[in-house]
Amino acid sequence: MPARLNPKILTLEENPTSPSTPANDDVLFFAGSDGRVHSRSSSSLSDRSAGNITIKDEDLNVLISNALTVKTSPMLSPLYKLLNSSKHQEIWLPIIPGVSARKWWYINGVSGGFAPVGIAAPSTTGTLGSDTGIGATYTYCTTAASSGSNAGITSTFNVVRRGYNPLFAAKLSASDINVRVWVGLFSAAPGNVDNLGTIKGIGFRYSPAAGDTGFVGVVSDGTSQAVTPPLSAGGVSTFNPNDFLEFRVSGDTVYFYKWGSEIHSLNTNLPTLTQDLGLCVRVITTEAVAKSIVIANVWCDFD
Amino acid sequence: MSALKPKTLKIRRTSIVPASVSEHGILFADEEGYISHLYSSGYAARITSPLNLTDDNIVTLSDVQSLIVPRKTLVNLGNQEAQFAFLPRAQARKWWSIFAAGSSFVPAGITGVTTSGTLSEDNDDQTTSVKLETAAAANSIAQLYSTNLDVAAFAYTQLSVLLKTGNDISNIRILCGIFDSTSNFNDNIGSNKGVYFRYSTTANDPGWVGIGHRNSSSGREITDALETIEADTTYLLNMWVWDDEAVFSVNNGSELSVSQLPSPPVKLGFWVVVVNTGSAAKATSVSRVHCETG
Repeated sequence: MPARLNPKILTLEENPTSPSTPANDDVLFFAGSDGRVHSRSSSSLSDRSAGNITIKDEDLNVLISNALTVKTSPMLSPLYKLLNSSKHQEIWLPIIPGVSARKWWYINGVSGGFAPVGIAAPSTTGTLGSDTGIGATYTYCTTAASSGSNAGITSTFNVVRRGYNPLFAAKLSASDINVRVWVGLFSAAPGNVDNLGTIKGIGFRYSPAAGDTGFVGVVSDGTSQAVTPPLSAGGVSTFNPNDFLEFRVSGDTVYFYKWGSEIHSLNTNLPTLTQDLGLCVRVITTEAVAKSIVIANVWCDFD
Repeated sequence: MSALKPKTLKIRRTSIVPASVSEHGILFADEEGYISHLYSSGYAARITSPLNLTDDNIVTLSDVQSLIVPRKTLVNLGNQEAQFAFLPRAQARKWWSIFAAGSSFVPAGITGVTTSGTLSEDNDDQTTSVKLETAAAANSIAQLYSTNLDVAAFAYTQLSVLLKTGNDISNIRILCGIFDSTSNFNDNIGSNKGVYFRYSTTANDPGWVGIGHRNSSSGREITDALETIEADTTYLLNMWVWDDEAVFSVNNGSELSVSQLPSPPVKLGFWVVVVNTGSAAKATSVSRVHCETG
């Protein structure tokens, strides 16, 4: 599979002129008349330095014209992000593959059910219902009022593999007290546990019992589990489907996002490249009270 | 949810005039989270003051946030202003579509569609379409709608419809948009709610118009003509609904807006209906429908 179709993050080295007051500096990209990428650091909006940047990943051919159009391979959607990742030390430039260049599936929570595109209808647990927020209609799943019961959706556990470099995204919200929430791609549906144990997978967890103060990224190779810091403190959102969770697999690293930022990454304890995985989005109540998870939509694209 | 609203920003240049038209503009997030604009020439800096965007489209970026710019939407318009638009990625949106295929419609992302009237394949040299044709009788209708009228909400909804008028657009009414009911297809939909395009000869519409209909005959607003209408012509109808404004355009032309919108949250469905207000059969062909919400 061509590497150019993989989600990837380019590390662009800063120009060799070190800013004198790093804490105040921004690093900028701009298009040079030669069609190459250039950078400039600025402090208090005064010019600091200029110089060329070397793009280290030769798999990606980024050309920027004078008109400031970023052109990538025709097979890639020309989406790009400018991100000052660590106070002017480096800039990450994730290139997100175009949908037309990838396999994908999508599940829309609508009309009190789930409408699949490119995948079989998911299995559901709990009681389903329809709700309407300001911005959309969506479907919620509610557990029974017994500790350990769950509600949500699962696919068969063979719809994608880590080796396919999946980009997974879900927009949802859930009850935030006495719950466990698992969202992502797994070898089997996670149960009422904080550690995936023998289950392999890549996803998100919210479990106050495990000390989570927000969604955390989780990977498991079936033996050991690795966990990111919380993507957002303060618990999960219970208002509308207002958590947009996303992870991207790029080779041996998984990048986790919430609302496109708050990046954390993991590169140990990942499932093997050939491990079959499937979808699970579910809430588990940890008390004898019904809990809900609202699912607006789930997306996955891959090589 | 507002972070996913499609939006267009106009970044106006400051008073510092570039020395030559070959200069390059850049946008960046400054330390205070505002988008700033910089012109450079030969890599010598021309740095302007930060731009504090004062309209509703203000975008603040912290130094760890991302600016996503799709397609070639970052355009230097010359000496006066730079303009760019950015739209949410497909991966981040809730969406559904309806495609014409053969003589029927295929839904994607919704559970089903319902039709009435006579349907037939109407492919041409531009695209595939299905013709919706009424009976040859006054007040007969032909229609396509989402079986469930809860597939969209008013706020943050973007709807795009590609359709083609029939060979006779006299004595006709076409309504196309999002509605809470398919029970009223008059020029005024009365107590129903909707945000939609209309062309009606009985209402003497000068062409396609956009309508926001809150909930009563008086609670509605109609735009001027968005585009004149002709027979056997394909039109791309685009509509964006924000918090308190619906913006209409036809064939990516001038945008006109209305603000008489139902108060969210309200469940809605897609509906295009052709009403025969004469006697001879009337038709409209639909190629595709795409809706993004949330």
